[in-house]
Amino acid sequence: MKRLLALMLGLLLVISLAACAPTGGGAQEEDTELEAQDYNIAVCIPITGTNATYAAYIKNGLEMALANLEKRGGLNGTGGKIILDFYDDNNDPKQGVALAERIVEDDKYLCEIGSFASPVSLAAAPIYNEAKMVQYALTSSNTRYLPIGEYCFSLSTTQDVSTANHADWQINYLGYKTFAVIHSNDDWGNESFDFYQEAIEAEGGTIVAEESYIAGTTNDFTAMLTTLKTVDADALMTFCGEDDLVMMMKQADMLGLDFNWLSSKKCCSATVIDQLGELAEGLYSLNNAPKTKENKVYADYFEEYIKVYPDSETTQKYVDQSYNCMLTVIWAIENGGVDRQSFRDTLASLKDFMGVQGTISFDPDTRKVFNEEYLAQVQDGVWVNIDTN
Amino acid sequence: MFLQQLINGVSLGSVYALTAVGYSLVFSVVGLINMSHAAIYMSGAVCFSMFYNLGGRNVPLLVVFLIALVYAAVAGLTIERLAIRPIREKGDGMIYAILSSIAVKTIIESVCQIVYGTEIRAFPTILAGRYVEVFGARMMAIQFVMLAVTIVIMLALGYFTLKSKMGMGLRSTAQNLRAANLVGVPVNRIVALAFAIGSVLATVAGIFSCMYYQTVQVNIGGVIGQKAFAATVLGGIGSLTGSVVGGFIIGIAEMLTAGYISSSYRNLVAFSILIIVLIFKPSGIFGQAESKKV
Repeated sequence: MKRLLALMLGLLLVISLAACAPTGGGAQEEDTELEAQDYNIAVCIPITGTNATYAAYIKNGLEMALANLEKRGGLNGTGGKIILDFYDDNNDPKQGVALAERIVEDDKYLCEIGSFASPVSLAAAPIYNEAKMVQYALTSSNTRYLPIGEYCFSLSTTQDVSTANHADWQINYLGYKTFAVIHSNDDWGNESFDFYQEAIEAEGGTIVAEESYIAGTTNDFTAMLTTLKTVDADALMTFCGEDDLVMMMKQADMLGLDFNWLSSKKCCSATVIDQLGELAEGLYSLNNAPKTKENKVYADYFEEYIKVYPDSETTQKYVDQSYNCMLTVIWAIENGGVDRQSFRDTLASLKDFMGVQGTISFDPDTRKVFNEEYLAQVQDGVWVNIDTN
Repeated sequence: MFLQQLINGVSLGSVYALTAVGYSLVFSVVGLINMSHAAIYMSGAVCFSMFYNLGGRNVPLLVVFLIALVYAAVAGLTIERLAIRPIREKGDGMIYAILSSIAVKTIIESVCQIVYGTEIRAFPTILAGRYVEVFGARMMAIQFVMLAVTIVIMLALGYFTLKSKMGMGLRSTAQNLRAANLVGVPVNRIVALAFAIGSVLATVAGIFSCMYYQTVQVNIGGVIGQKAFAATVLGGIGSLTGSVVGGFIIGIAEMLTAGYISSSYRNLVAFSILIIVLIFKPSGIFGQAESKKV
């Protein structure tokens, strides 16, 4: 009986193995097809803490791009996927460094995306560079970031370039001569102010008052605004996050303080308009090329965008930027960037790549990003790019 | 400009005062620094905003306000019953109760982040655009309402603690919890009441603060929690009058610093005042020094 049972089990095993073996025709077909390969990417963003709003935008933008990748059949149409692992750096440089040490040690990661704030990215950058792994700090506009190493990439125009554009248009196109400035007292805010002051003076303007504040420690801007109103500047320039700008403009309105509001590119977002409503009318900022549905990239993106943000008429800047980031990552992988070094080299060669707002190119040597900037103003509830020529 | 900064400071001080009283009330009754208090401040405002939005933004504000107060009272009672009382009854020491309240704070903040999101949102206000001008300074109607609400609540709370039976229970428990228990004061009910009142006050402060700034966000509790706690200590922890005075001192100091020095120094000055007062009077302005038997 035992022998019979052993015989039957053996027979069953042979049949199972035979069923699992590939057929001759199938093997031949596989040779001619690209194999589906998945890639892992680590994303370090401030999921909690004062910048959690931006982390949510970044996460959504990356996932929207992946949803569109899936729709078109995966990487190179093979069904290959990009798997994102999200890590919370809590906007803390120490946390960013600790995560970087973990991520570079894990061979499964092709590259890292993030963080949101430059100080966190700056702190972690040497670790990624030493490990020869791309750190794609998509939102870093700090001029000290890219020179850290050849594995640093960002999609933000650096502050020296943006502030020069601000100064040029504010003085030569809008005709303002005197400026009051509010900026966050952090790495980004202070550096922006320094470049801005230099650019304003170079164009013949004057900064008559400057106020700084520590972001995340207050919701009350009434005292600063009351003081700045007394200097009677032509315009009030702000280098702050969009949440703070919303609060400032609402509080100024509540106290009856009129300003000609100017904002950094950081605040050129749909959120600012959504939250401020009519109060946003007339606000100036900087923007990239117009968003138009004739651009297929934008049209595809918008289709995903309204699933997450229903009833939106336009898209949010940070979601745009993270969507663009993932598009460039996909492009680099599909064009041979399948290991850490080749990924870096392919990404650095990006040229005239169509994103959601015009083309994107990297300078192969400095990795500075090139995308056009325009003076923009809120008109009838949307950001409108202005022809300054 | 000075008068305008003073008005702004008094408005901010009202928010600190209302929040600080909640800290003080709980501390005076059970000797606990309730770290979840600031989370109730935030979640009460979030609750108000959620129900207002759920109702299509045309629900009467008073109705939503009452719903938020009910939420706050229930939250306060729940925290006391589930996170504080078991530790207190075991006699494990207040350090464990403080740790438990930190855990509660984290849970509330996480739930609000998940349910409500992290983005800044518009918050409905009252009497928008109405103001009176005094010597060139503008006092907005909402600032006046905040100040009035603070004063009325403080008077009502003072009357309640002095004249009502439950209020007397609160005072006797505050003096000596064990002795109050021995003479038949329902200590558990009194402690629960302190948590409920404290949470309601935090929610009132949160709602009026958000009405004033016309925005709400889930991170508002962190900022206010530190200042309100500083106001409580400055005024004398356990003293309701002290908390109110401490709130106004911190609020006005912050505004004058931001207006005349720099906003970056507002916390530095506010907390320096706290340290200076504590050096010369460790029990705070209105606090009573503990006497030691020798």
